[in-house]
Amino acid sequence: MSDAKEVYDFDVNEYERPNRKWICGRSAEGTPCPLGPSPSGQCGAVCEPYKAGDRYYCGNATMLAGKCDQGPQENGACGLFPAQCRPTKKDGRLECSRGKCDPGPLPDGRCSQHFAACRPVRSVLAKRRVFSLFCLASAIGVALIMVAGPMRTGMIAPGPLTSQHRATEKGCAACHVVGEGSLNDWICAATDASETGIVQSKLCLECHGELNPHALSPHSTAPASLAAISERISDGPAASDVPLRLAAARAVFGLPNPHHKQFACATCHQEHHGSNFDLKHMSDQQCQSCHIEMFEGFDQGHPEFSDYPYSRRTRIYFDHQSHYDRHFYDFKRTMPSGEKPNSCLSCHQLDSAGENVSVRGFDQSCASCHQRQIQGDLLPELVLAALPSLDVESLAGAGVHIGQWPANRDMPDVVSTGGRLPAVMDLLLSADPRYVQNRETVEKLRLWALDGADRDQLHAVEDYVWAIKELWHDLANPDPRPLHQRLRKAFGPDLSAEQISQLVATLRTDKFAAAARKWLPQLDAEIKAAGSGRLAETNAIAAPSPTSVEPVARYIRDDSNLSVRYRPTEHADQVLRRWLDSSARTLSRTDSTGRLFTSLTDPTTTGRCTKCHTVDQQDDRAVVNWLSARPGASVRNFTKFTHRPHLELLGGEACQQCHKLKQDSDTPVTGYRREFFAEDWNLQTNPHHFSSNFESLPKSTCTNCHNPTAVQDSCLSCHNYHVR
Amino acid sequence: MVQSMRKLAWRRCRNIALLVAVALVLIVIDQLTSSTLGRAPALTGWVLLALVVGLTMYNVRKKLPFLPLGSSATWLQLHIYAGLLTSVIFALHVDWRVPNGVLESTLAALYLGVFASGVIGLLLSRLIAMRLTTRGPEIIFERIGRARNRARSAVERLVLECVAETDSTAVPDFYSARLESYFEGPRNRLSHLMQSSRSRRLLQDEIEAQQRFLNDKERDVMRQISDFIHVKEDLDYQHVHQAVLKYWLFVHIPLTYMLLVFAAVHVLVVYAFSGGFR
Repeated sequence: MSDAKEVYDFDVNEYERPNRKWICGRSAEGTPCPLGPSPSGQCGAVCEPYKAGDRYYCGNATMLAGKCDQGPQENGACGLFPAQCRPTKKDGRLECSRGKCDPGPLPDGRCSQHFAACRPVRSVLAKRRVFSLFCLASAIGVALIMVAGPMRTGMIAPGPLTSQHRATEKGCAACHVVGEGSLNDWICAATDASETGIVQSKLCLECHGELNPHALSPHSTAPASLAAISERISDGPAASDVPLRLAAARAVFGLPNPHHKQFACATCHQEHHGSNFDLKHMSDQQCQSCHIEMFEGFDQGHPEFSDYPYSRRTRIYFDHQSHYDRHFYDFKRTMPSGEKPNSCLSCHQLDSAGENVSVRGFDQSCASCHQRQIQGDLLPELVLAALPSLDVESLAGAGVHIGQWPANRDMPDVVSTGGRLPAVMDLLLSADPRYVQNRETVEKLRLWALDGADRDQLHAVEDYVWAIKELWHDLANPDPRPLHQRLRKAFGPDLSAEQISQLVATLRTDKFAAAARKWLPQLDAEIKAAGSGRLAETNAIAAPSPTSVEPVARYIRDDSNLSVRYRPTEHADQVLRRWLDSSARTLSRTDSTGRLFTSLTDPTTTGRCTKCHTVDQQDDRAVVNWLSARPGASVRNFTKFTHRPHLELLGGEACQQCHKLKQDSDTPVTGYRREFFAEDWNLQTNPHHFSSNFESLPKSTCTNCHNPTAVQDSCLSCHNYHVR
Repeated sequence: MVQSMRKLAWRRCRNIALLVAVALVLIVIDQLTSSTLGRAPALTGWVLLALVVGLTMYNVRKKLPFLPLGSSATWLQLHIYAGLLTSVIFALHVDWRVPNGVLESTLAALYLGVFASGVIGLLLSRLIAMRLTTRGPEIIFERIGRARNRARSAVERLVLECVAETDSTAVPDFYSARLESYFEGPRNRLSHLMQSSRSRRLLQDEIEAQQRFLNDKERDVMRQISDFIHVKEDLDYQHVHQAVLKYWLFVHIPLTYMLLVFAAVHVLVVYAFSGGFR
């Protein structure tokens, strides 16, 4: 045992050199060479004899402990080189295979030269280094195959796509700018410090076109709008219960969301996490990271609702209070043929997605009681055109040439006492400068008694009449182009060619032609002559004898007052709707189009439509709400609510649990609520200036169930991020 | 000795406390970054890469002992605790999920390989160091062969002397049949690693079985040979344990280099496909 005891000292023990690249090949056998190999792996036992005087001496005599009996050769080469031999048996005894070794082999057949040259081996350290370099080279090779090989798409993908995105046929390039790029492109893209993330996000928008132009802005909202919202919120009281985590994040990182900044889609939507990964998942903290107001949860700090869910008046006028308090009371007596609703769902219905509750159509909700009010001869008619009564004799006496005109007689005149023509006719004439220039003058005259008019006034009447005649000629003309041009001039660029054509189609040529044949039989010839500068002399013709008016006809030529009128006969009349929609586009204008809209929306005359169908002002135009609110898939507000599970869970009285009717009633004398019509029946067009029939929903109604201990209460349960 | 142990315990407690504190700070920063829609994976990824590169520098440090870069012991402590810290950052980086892409999975497997080999190496360095002090001579790895050779030579001399004195071939025959290959190199590696003495007992039993056929002189020689077998067993024990200490780095270091290569590819792919460095 004592033999194995090691002694360690610099001049006593042998030098193992484990940190060298090469070690003696005999180390493992326990007989290492004291000198060891050279740094290049050459055996150190091979000496380089030196010459002293006239002979060579062994250069490794010390290493070999002076046992190199062989000594150097005559040429100075080591006598042992190449050293250790493999002794062979010859004639029963072992001999040195090289024949030069005087000591000869040992009795056991091994070479006696223990310090002979060996084949140096790598040290453990060197082996590890070689192995490491091999692994490094292999890794680089595999990595290059991954990024540049034919299978690279599958190799570098960080995981499967969601099922929705997996169907893309463009591969990586569908979502990534460098999807089909070379390795060089990748390096350039990776080191690009510009906003390439935003550029890449625009690839997303190629498919997700449903997002609005501000898709990459926070909440897909215009920066100015968002800034306004933020300003409004920041003016409110600060939340008192700010979560520590959010407060710390705000303190460290600040607000990450300047309104003008755009966000890459990948900021929130992280792909490549598997087919069932929820791309839209966001934590409440992430939602609040940009918000001015921070709070712990829906039932802890979330602001109280403000007028939720009633952000505007209804599109179809309906007074729940008056109906429940008055009309449905003693209903059978007051409305014997009406159908009293059994529940809210008699008039409202759930959409197919189960999210929104909308109003059923007129036939299901309103018709049983209100059909009669808009049916048949009860409806005021729309006067399309009319000939005013003229003092033909005075005009003829003054030498004013207006051609043929029905003689003045005692008959009702649809032209107002002020001389104003019907609104549709006024609109069509507004394209004629003779009418526009003389209208003000003529409207001051009594056209059926012009004996006191001066010369200029009479000439104004002359131009005015010829403008009317030319219009009538156009109305009676099967060629629609003249009327098309008149409407184009009147409406300007607000209407499309298709919309103008639809309006022209409402002016029935046959009715006007028939009227012209009876009231102005020489109209064609007169217009033709006037075109060549020859005005026909004034000639009173006998007034037409009145004919009976068809009770069910929609277009009426009335000989009794020389007018052509349109009679809407039922709900959803398309002619009135076209004229209303067209004139609504010019709400802010005070010219003929504005006058037409005013006349069509007067609930006391033709415009019964707008008694129920409200008009919303949007900038300088108006929109008639022909339908109740129908939020479709294209509309996303900040807040969402799915009715179906609530209705199913809460049962028959579910609606009233949230939508509680107000007890107070403030119905004015008109019977209409003020947010729809003022006291003087003036149409109200601001949909957000209103008072709902129902109490606003308090937050506690929701937090009773939606709290951390019961049903989900995350931000995304009730809010949309992308709005449009 | 007691003071030394106290110092070690104090150092270990301090380092663990520091490790936990840094890990907590990183977790908080990661959570705050996530809360603000920041790129938390980018933050943790760069920290992780920096740590891995820093840990790799320990190997470089060992090759530059002449530079005043601090003691190797200090570097080792930093290496151990920073290595443990990477596991927390790695978990944050992958968001506690198992990566499922080829590149990502390869990278994660490499990291886990490096981390596991590091932890195993750490445990081995503690366990084996303890074992090495309990059995066999204090001998460096490079000299074990020489010591074994000396033992073999001594045994061979005893065998030759025995032949000359007793004119019996019982001992040389047993040596040729059973001990010659035994003394040529390390044997029973697994048994030594498993701390099993079964192989030695079997050999001793065989020697005992030979006793009845031997005369007194041969018995004396066999007793001495038995002592050298004991020496050889201790040398083999030292050899296999010291070899484990040297060869576990054949896993740890190459995997680290591979990890760095794939990490570089990962960074390139991430930034190229996520829209740039910004």
